Amino acid sequence: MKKITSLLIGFVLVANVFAQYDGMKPAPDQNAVKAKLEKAATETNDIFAEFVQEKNLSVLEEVITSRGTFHFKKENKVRWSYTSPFKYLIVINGQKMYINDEGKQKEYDVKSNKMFREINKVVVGTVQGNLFKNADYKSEFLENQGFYLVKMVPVDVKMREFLQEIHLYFDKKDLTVSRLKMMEQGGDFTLVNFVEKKVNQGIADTQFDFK
Amino acid sequence: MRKILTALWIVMICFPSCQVASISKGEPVKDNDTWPAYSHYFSGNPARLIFKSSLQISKQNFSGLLIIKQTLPGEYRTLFTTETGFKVFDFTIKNDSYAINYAVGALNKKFIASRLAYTVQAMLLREIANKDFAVYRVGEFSIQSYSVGKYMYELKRDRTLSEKVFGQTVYVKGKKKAEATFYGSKEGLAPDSSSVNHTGFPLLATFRWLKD
Repeated sequence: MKKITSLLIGFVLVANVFAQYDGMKPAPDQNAVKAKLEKAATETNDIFAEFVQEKNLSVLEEVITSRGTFHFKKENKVRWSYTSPFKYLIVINGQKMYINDEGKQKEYDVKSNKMFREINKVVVGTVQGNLFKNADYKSEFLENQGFYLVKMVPVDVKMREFLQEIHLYFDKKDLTVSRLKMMEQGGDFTLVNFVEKKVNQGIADTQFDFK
Repeated sequence: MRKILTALWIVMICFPSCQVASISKGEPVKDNDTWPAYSHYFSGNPARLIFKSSLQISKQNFSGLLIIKQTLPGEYRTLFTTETGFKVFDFTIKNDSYAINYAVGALNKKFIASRLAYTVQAMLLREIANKDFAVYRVGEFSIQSYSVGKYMYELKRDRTLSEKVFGQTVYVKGKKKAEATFYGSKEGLAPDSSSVNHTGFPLLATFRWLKD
């Protein structure tokens, strides 16, 4: 009986987490939402969060889950660290990108490589929450009681071949990104849920050192 | 004519994979030295396998997760995604063929996609049932080979350790394509990791099994 009760509570909690992102309708004043999110982005100096990433593949019944932490600091500093079930670190600091793949370290110049320029734009724009300002995407603003949803479709047809849509969910309480959904052709998608967020608490520059 | 001959000579020198490989140089052994059962990745009927992987194709590097699901006996769906979730390729792999369901632009070329498929066929240590095997001895190793359609596989094991498989080589129409070396194989368990290299093609891959 105890087990059944725990399962039911678990089910209700999980259903609640998903339900909070449901029932999205187009925001009546698209420009007002855009302005509100842009203002919040300019007031955000740093963000720390833990993340849970879920890869949903149509061929599998289960999702592939990975976890980690991320740090963001203005201008253009990101530390994206996967800790489970593998170790993988991406650090973007200005125009440099550093990757540590289980001890194999590599440094890249973002400017010299178109692919890294795009990654930089998407990652920094996502965590800062102003990717929708990017002209490379066509944006639509939706909302429910607790969240704003920005649906973004890449303008470039080649880009759409591997990334059909990006969905950014902003918590109306602090106007930071709570969830990122990246949709691919064929129905596969990646969900990243950001939890335990700390905004403007101060992050040392050393977090973005290449080591 | 001279130009054509020169071009042909260059092709033959530069692409040794075009040569028919010498297969299983060793002392043939009789049935009394049969190949014992070995531990393959699907021994415990897992729903799927995940490998932390890296691919170095010429100067391009990809790292991420290789996800493998057995869909039918002898048929596997294999997907490679980056750590951040972008799908790189999605193949259906069989013992004697492959099909490309998806490959990201840079890899969506037959000569690259085929090599990726051979890579997976080489690293995927799987049970092969109802095949006629030939067994050879090469030094301390035994080599077992079997054919499936135009494919031939060679499994290499230490004769003193019955379940430990050290390598798997894939030949297509008699030409050596990819060779896997397995590491961390313990008695009763499939190998922890593997590396795959190719003959005449700049592709090096590594795989580490992420166990639940």
